[in-house]
Amino acid sequence: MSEQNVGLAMDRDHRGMHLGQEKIAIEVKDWNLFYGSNQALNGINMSLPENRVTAFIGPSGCGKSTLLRCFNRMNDLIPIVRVEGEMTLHGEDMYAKEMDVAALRRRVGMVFQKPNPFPKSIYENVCYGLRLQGINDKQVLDETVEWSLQSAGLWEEVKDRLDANALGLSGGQQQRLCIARAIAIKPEVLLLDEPTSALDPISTLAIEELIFELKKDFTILIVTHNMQQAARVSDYTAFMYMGDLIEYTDTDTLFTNPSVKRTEDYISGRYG
Amino acid sequence: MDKSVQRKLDEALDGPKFQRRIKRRNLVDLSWASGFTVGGIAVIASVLLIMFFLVYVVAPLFAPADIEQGKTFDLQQSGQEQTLYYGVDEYADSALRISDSGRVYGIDLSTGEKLRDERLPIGDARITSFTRISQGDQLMGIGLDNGSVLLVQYEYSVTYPDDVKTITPKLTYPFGQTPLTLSEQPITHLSARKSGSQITFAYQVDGASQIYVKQYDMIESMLTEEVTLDLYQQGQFAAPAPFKWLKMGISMRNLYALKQDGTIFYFDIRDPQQIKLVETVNALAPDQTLTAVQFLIGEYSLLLGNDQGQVAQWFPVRDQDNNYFLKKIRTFEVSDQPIQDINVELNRKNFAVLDASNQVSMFNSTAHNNFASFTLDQTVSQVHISPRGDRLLIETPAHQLVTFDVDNEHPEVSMSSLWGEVWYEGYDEPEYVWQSSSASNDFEPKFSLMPLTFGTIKAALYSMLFAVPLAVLGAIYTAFFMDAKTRQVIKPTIELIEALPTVILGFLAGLWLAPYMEAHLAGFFSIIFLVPIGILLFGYLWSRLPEPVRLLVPTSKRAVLMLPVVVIIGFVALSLSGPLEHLLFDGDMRHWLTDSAGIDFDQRNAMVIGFAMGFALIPTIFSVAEDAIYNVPSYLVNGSLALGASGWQTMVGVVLPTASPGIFSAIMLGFGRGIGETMIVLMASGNTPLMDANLFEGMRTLSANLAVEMPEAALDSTHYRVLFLSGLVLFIFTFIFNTLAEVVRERMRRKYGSL
Repeated sequence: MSEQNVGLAMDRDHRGMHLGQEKIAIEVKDWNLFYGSNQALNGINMSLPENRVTAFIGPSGCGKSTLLRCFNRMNDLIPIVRVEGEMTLHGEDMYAKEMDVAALRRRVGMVFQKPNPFPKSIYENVCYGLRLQGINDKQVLDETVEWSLQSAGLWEEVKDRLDANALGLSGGQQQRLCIARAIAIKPEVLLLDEPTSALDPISTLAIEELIFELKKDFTILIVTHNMQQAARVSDYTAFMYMGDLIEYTDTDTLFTNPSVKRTEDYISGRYG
Repeated sequence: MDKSVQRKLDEALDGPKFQRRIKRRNLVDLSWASGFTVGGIAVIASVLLIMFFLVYVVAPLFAPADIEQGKTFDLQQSGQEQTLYYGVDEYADSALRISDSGRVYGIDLSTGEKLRDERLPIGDARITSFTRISQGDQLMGIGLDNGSVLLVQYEYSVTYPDDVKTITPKLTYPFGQTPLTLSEQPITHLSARKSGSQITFAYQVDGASQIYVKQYDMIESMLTEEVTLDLYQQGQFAAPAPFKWLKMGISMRNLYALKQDGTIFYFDIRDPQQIKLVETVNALAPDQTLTAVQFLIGEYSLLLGNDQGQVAQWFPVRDQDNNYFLKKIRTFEVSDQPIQDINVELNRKNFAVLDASNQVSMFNSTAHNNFASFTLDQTVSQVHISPRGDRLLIETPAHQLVTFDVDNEHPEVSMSSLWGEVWYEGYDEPEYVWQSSSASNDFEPKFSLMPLTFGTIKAALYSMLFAVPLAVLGAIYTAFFMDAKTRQVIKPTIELIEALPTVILGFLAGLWLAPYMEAHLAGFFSIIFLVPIGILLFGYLWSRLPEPVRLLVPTSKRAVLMLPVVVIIGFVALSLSGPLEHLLFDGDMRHWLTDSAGIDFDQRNAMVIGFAMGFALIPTIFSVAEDAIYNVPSYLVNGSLALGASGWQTMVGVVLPTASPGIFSAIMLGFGRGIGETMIVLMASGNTPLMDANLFEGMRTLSANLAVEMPEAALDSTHYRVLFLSGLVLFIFTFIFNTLAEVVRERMRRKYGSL
């Protein structure tokens, strides 16, 4: 039996069992992605549950970040990328011709690996998405900024220096600012692309606690290299390898009782 | 591992061989480091050296005059004689003195030796008046008590007996030794001017209430080359009141009679038969007295010294109705003592003033500066400047002659003459003028750097007006919206423009664009409006096309579609030029501008410069701005896009602010280049040093001025040094703009440093 077949078989089994009771936010069907002539994602099928944290793990180059970027069509920016298959957000075809990409990205927020605050004030960073939506009412902005920063657990640290340049913050603070910036426009889904890989352990802990808080309001998809992190923060975990979705099930099962040998090898540190 | 391999490895990593290699490596490192240091320091040193050289050449302009007391001689003379005149040769080695008793003395100014002692051929007549007829060739008129005038000319000859330069001063009589008879009575006041082949005398005789004006033709005999005077016309008019000084201005046009209380009667004597009193002015306050009157070299400006230590410069100025009136131009504050004597230099607008407290002050009228003042500890009565202004002769009542050596090369330059408005002789109002050379000797050089500085900034600004929008918008599109492949072609192509010799651009601009633009003025203006409108219209129409048609051209290549649009609009606009000018501007926009709109038009104007130099600036600005935009980190762009921003919103909200320091320094760099650019402005600006922001008039820039005038400036002359000063100004200009650009970029870099 080829590896690909194993992965798909296991995936189908587990999805039926564990995701059945969940409301689904994003549905992926037969998703293929090509970089020119190289296929990077092979026939991915998965359902991502609402208000849950779903982690994507796997060795470098397995396609987990590529898949994540499909959820807000960031891959559109790479000219040679071509996709096939179907992807729906709450039943809406995300890749439909009439879908406005900017509007989609408003609904599917993203936080990147490296903190990327704009060279503006803290306040303006959080406002940025709101202003794009044409919101300039001072009161609305003020309250949303406060709510976002509080939700991102940054308010206490920065409330006295909202006009200071965001680049003066520490790495962990910058990343929480990026999260605040992303949630300020109330997305439905929040994509986190290795959000703690550039951070120290204390900042990482703060972000992880934040993720736990945020899942009440948002559907969170997180890509991580750190298996312990996936185990700590996620409800569901998908293990990917070489562009295949090998195993996708609830986190407890995947880490304690994986059904695919390759998953077990990976989580027990035999490769990756 | 093999033993031998292990040994080789050990040797390489430790031991004497290893030590040697480390030493050698350190030596190489050190030599490179010192090489770089030397190179860097040499660059800084050479820039400083250029700066130093400029300052070294410019500095003498502002150096104070150096005055040293020379020898004192006894004026070996008999009895009480007053000096009427000193003639000094060009080398200031000898002097000729004419006294009021009719004696002529030659004095060697290095030894005090008497070179000549003779008497004027006036028989037993007495000298009653004296005038200088023309300062250039030192012709004088001596009025006698028998009503005649003796015309004498000061000359000197240089001979080399025994190889020693000997200068012999002498008097000649160009119209013969017989005095010219004007009247029967003693001539009490005399003034005369020579102009062309005419001499005009104005005089008053003892007891008469009339002033006579007589104009003589100089007729040269073909055989003997003897020149005789032939009365051409004459006139007379009633003297307004008893006056003390009678002064005739240049070109035998203006006659001034001055009273001691400062009243000036200004007559127009162009036609001696119809003499008009132009005006009567009082030049002084009621409590002041006029004590000395002298023409500045050029016989246009009157210098009036009063008893309160002031010298005022007056000259006739034309009003709007073309009428002349006397105007006080500037006042020189000498001291609070009465002015005793004023003497003028023969080559420059310098004069020396002697006051009653024995203070000698030297001034330049154009620069309005007092470049030297010193007080003698003995009483003095007269001051005289040598022709080149390098020696002062000061006479004491005890008949001694004190000499002073004056070293003052550049009196006509001061901050006010370089940067301020100056009221030049013959001008209707104070102006900024650059006019560095002229045919005549008594010309007032006009060294105002303002028109040049203004022209430089004007040229740079108009070309920036054209270049900045195109270059920056082009950079934005190329860096942010264009696909990588097209960008790889476009960017080097635009940068290639920079390699185009500017002389070719200047040549095209001056010889092709300027006349073409003049002929198609309306067309060029319609291009400015039609091209942006056409581009927008095309963009709108394109967006209305059905999708399959639009998909035929990939998004990143759609900009190419604009090319034919721009070309077609340009062509249409230019061919519509003729009909448009017929319709709106009576057939010719250029004439309409000058005649109806009252806007002066030069063929080589700021608009031509704007296009031509703007074209040269585009690659500089484009290249740096494009780099700045392209180097905005992609994670910022992604961050913005991920928040739901469109490409354009990302551009405006994140990319432009982040790239702004780079764009700013690109613009500054462009401006710096525009300031220093020479060939294009030299060939296409018309090189007229005007102070006018008019788009349709030319300009002269500092750089073009240097290129034009440097070859003709005499080494170490004031002109030469002022040109160097303009070079220094240019240097400082570009230095300031580049530094400003660098400082802003550095500040921004610190601000965005953690990116």
